[in-house]
Amino acid sequence: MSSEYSTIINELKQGGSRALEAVYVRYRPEFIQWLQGRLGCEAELAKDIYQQTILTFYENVQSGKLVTLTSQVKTYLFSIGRNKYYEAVREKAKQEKAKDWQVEHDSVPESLLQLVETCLEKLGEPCRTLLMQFYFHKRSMEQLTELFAYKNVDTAKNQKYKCLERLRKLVKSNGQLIADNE
Amino acid sequence: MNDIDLIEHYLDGSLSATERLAFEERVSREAELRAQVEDMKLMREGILRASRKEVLKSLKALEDTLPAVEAPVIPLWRNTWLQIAAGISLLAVCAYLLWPRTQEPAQLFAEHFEPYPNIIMPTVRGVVENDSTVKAQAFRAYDQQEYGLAIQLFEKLSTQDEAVLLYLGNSYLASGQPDKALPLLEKVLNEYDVFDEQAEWYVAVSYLKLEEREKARVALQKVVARESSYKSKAQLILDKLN
Repeated sequence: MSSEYSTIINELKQGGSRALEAVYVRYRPEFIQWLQGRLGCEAELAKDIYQQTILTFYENVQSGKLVTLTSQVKTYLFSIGRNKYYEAVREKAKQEKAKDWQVEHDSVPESLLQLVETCLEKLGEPCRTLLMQFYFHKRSMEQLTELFAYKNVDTAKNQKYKCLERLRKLVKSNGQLIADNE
Repeated sequence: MNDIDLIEHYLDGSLSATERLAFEERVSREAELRAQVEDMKLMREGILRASRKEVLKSLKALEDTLPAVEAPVIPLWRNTWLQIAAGISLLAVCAYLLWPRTQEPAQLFAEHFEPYPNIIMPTVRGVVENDSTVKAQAFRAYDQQEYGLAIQLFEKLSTQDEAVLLYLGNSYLASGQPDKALPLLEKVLNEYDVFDEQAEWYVAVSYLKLEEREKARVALQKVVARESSYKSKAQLILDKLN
């Protein structure tokens, strides 16, 4: 594993999205110039692709999908970016509605996902952030305890259960409403 | 492990093979558990999606605070349009150079005529020319490309000498008088033997200069048929004449 990469991994695991912004700034000029110059990408699309690339990189690091990296971080980002650019070009060619990103839906209906998103907003803080920090940013219970200044890890765990249950109930009741309207 | 944790681990893929089989076996039997798994899946996916949107939003906000990335300096050879333009130009040049085309005989003459080298009385460098015979003077003039003088001198010599005829003919050709060269060269070709190959070639060249396309063609075909040292040149000209 390159030392550059392990440093970044540690920073991301500790700092989360703050650290991600540092990564974003660090590789930004080179990446965007490369996209525009080498691949002839438009300036606005280049920014979008870079943002999605950074997001994918982050998710791969946090989910443990990316355990070892023998190449430079830059090289890895470029390979993600290239795929995303070609994907964007293909999408454009197909004249399809632009998608922000490709999600493996696993056959979860779009309307239901929208519903969860809406309910997550309704859920309010700290539950919304807590759940995102746990599921997406992969914060450990220890980190969450520290982040939310809980008494101990058990409190954090309990809080997470409660938030999840509240979300589930919100989705159920709102989903019922949708079902009733249909 | 309670059911919630079990479901989480199952969705994370962090159950051992035995645990997973046992869990899936339960899921197939318990409708309630099945619904819980589906709910959890949905919620997790929704949370991930909301998070992605949030991260993208913050990156976009960050982007707006950053100075614009300077447009890359594209090296010339990477500029697609320039590449295409260069390619087309190259193609055009190649096509121009390689395209089989008809050339004017006079032009071909200018390209291919070279006076036959003086092999009779070569001028030796550094040696004082003290041979004042007309023949020597004639060849000296020929070597110095003073063809007007050479013609005068060659004409003083015997018209029975095939070498004199050949060089006189060449002198006429070189001074732009193919009409006068032609009978001399034909005489060399028809009445003598030594310079037939050369004479035949210069006859053909004379016809080129005279713009006698058909006669030049016939003469060149003879050169080719003879397999002489002028064959490849003759063939080249034939191709361009057609």
